[in-house]
Amino acid sequence: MDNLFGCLDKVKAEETLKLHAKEYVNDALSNPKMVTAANRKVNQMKKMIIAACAILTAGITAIAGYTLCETPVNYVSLDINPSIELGVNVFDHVVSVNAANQDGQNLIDVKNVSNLPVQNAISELVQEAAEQDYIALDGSSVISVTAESKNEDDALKLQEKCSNGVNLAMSTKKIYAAVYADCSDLSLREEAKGMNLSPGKYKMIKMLQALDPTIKVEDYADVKVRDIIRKANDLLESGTADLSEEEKQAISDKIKKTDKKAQGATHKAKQNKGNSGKNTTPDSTEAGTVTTDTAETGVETDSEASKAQKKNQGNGQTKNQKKNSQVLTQDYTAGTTVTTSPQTKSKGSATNKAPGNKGNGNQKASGKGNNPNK
Amino acid sequence: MEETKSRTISEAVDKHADMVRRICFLYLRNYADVEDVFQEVFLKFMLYSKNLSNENHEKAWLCRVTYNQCKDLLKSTWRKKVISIEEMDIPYQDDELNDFLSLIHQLPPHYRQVLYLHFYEKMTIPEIASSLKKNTNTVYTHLNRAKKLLKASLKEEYCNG
Repeated sequence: MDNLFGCLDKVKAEETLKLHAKEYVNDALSNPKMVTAANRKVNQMKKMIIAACAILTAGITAIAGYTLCETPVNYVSLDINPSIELGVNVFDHVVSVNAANQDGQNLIDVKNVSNLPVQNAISELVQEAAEQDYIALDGSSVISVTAESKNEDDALKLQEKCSNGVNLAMSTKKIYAAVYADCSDLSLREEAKGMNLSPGKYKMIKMLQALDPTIKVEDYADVKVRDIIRKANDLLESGTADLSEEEKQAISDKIKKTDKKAQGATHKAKQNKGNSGKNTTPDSTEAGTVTTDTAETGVETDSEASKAQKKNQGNGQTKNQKKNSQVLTQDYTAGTTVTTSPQTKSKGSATNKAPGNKGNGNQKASGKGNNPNK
Repeated sequence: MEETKSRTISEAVDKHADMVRRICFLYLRNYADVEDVFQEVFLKFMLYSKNLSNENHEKAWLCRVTYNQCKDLLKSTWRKKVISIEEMDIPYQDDELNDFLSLIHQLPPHYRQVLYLHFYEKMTIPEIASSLKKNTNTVYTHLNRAKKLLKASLKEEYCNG
């Protein structure tokens, strides 16, 4: 092996090579720019590494940000009879829209609510449902919104936003309906998915099953929310349910109050029809018979749309208006229910709170409230 | 100051030129490339701010820098696109050198380096490991594999020849 490498003795640096090297180095050393350039090569490498790291970090951040924005973390189920499920990201914006039935598909085919804040999305969908005659004019419909989240606080906040969205739509479209607002854990969503149902409706059917175990989920898959509530009410009144008193009371609170609200909304719709026959348009905010109770939530849902309507509909319209709360909210654990009392609110005059849980939205503001064109 | 530098570069080139040229010979076939590497190596040597304690240290440093410089030149994207080393096979006038080159170029570059330092520069394995900043066992492995490959090549050449 040594012999083999011995031939390398013959390799010598040529004189010209040495000379050129000496000249080059001398020139370089006497020229600061060349020295800097030589050093710069090393610095360039460092800079390239830093730049690569920065690009990598920016890329990771961008991907993480995109994922954060595009991944649904919470879900909202809207059931009228069109059943729609909205996927909501951490910023409470709608990122996915899925229909749980054909009616829901018809609705989302017409209305694109992606990337809207959840409140606006719900409002738009309810308005579209009203336009497509999914909400009965006699006020007998029940609009159910169910917020689903892993976190209890998030679910309650989302539920409140959804209720506000429904209120906004109802006051804008002047429609009457009872609102059933609820929230649940995400595990329910998986179960509902297995049954091809929206989680909101699935939860209601489960409640119905608790009252009557013979009821099958499939039988109520295409039944309207209103009819489920009525059926539950009938079951409760017949007293056949084999439940403990506490359970009975909890379900009773939920169902009866919603049913009463439905009846209240029907009554109001009829009253409104009668009024319009007498050439008196209904109170614009009254049209939105469902609002969140400000005493409970601290949020007033007097929408801009309703304010605009007030201005435009001066004919036979009152300035002092009232809001009737008919929202039934339920605890995250579904153990207890909190019913917001119907509340009458008049601007510039005394606020009258309606008693108890009547929820029929018939409380009127003071006499001044009926004074048209004030 | 200018005079001192000139004398130093002159001394350094005279002392180490052959060794740098030999390493270039192992990797580069193009005289222009050799000249580039040669000049860059001695410029780096002059710009190196730290003290090289003794002649051996100086030699090891130059070996390492020359090897890196050749490697950088060969792997540059521009070069890969424009020139293929095999295509630039310019024969030397000496047959023995040409035979040696045809053998040595069949080996991967890191094996060539280890063989050269061990068999020509007579460096020990730990010295090579320290110079190349590699594990001693890695150098042993490389050396053994390089020897096996070289033997196989020689055998093949002998049988064919």
